[in-house]
Order: sequence, then structure tokens, then C-alpha cells
Amino acid sequence: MASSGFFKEKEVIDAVRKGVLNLYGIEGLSLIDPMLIDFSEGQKGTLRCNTSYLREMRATLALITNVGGQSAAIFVEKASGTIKSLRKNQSPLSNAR
Amino acid sequence: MRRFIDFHIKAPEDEGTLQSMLELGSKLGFKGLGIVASGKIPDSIRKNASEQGVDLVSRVDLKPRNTRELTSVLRKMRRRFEIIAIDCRSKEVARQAAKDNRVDVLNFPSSYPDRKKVWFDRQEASLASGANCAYETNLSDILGKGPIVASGLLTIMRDEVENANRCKVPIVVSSGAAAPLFMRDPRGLAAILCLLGMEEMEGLDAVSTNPWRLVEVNRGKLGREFVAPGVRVL
Repeated sequence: MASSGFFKEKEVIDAVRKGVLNLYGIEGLSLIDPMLIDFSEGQKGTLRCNTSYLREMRATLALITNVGGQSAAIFVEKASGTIKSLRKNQSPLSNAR
Repeated sequence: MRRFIDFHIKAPEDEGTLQSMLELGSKLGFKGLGIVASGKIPDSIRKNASEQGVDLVSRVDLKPRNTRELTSVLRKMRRRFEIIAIDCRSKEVARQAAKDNRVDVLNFPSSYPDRKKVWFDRQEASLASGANCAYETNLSDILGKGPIVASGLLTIMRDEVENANRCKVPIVVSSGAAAPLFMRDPRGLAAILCLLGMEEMEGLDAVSTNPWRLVEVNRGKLGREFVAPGVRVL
């Protein structure tokens, strides 16, 4: 995530769910089913969603400009089918805030 | 492997902010950034970009008020910048820009009432197709807008994308960012096009192949060996 502030896990998942709801409605939210698996103090986390709706999830994240009342941007570092392979190789964004 | 480019970065006055945008762009996986700068891009930025493996493309966004101003400003600017984008503020300017093969990219107003009047309609697409102009959609146009305005803009953009596809006009998607918070990762930008009815591969082409093709053609034209389209000194 990029922002001048720090966020709690709940603020992030609320912003993501609100984003999906705005863009795709209740049906979309139930189909995409986003869930924050973990979120660290380094403002980096793992988001789980239905893989069939990965593009929709990416589009939603790209349109998020506000988290917990503060300006923020969410970037996708890596997408993978399993958590194991997701954590295998870290991209340069891992060190970015 | 795809080489992604964010084709539209509005360089802020502050050099430090531009530097951080450049670093973020590199971390997000972009291999190129199209920088709209009021003056020359500072050498320190260029040096830093080349160290990070990011190709900086000089770009100018022109906002002519009428067709006469458009032609005169094109004459002055064409050989100074690699990419020329026209911000079409009126129908006449949009039509003239779409006909002129010195124009690379067509941009349309980000405000919903203005976009309803001046947009990439079928005639515009047909003219742009003949002049090898690309149609650009900026994420910044819809970012931070309320749901009603954003939905209206998306409706118009969807029709524009359909017109562009029908006339085989290349589509480019960019962030249009003026600050790091408005930048997005390349696949995120491409995913925005799913809202406009484009397939995944077409979306990825809009952040990679299509803009790079424009850059390569124009760099060739700006080279010393270029004489005329299809003619070069060997």
C-alpha cells in the first residue's frame, strides 16, 4: 500500500469490500469474495479472492483511492494460486511503502 | 516477457516528487514512463531512470482552442517531443487532430458534461484510423469520482473503446498520474479495461505493445536518417 498514514487490517478490508460493492454490487461481492488473509505493519498483506474474478479484483484495487478516510493506493505485487508460491519470490515492491 | 509503459505521467513541479514517481514506476514493473513536463526533463532524473532500467519518453499534452492553433502548435512541437497528445476540448479540434498524422494520441475531457459533448465517436474513430492516432484512456479520469459520475464516464468510455476496436484504432491505457498516489501497477491498469468490455490480452497490449509501437515509430521519425515515411538514409 502507498499512503502517508498507517492502516489497520479492518480498515483495509473494509475499503476493499466497499470498492467491490461500489463497482460490482452485492452479487459481485459474493462472487469475488475478497478476504484479507494477513496484513503486516509494513502495510503489506495477502488478499484472497475467487480466482475466476482476478481481473475484477485488480480493477477494484486500482480504483481505491481512500482507506480509512485517508488517501491511499493499493498495488498488487504478485498474484498466485497458492500462498506458498506467493511467498517464495518477493518483488522489489516488498521494500516499498 | 511484456515491457509495460505508463504512457501518461504528469511531471510535478517538484523534482523530488518526480523522482519518487520514477522509483515507484520502476518498482511497479514499468520499463517506460511517458513524462509530460513543462520544460526539459532534468538530467539527474534521466540518469536515475537509466540506472533503474526505465526508458523516459518525452511527451507533450496540447490543449489547442481551435484548429488554427492546433496546426500551428503541431508545427512547432512535432520535432521536439517523442509523443504528441491532443486534449480535445471541442469537436472541431478533435476532428482536425484525428485527421492529422502528426498527432499520436487523442485525449478527451475528464469531466462528464464535457465528455458527453466531445467524445471518441464513430466518425472520430474512422478519421483516427486513417491517421494512425491512438485513443487513450486515463485512469485518473475516473479515480476519486463519485459513483454516478464514474458510471456515466464508464458508459461513454465503453462506447469509445467499441468505436476504437471497430475501426482498429490502437487503444492505450495510462494512469494520467500527477502524484505517486495516483500511479497503479500495470496489470491493474489493464484490468480497468475489463470494465470497458476488453479482453485480458487486449488490456495488456494497451499498457505495453500499443504504446511502445508509437514510441518506436516516432523515435525512428525523429532520427537523423529519417527522410519521409518509408524513406531513410542508409
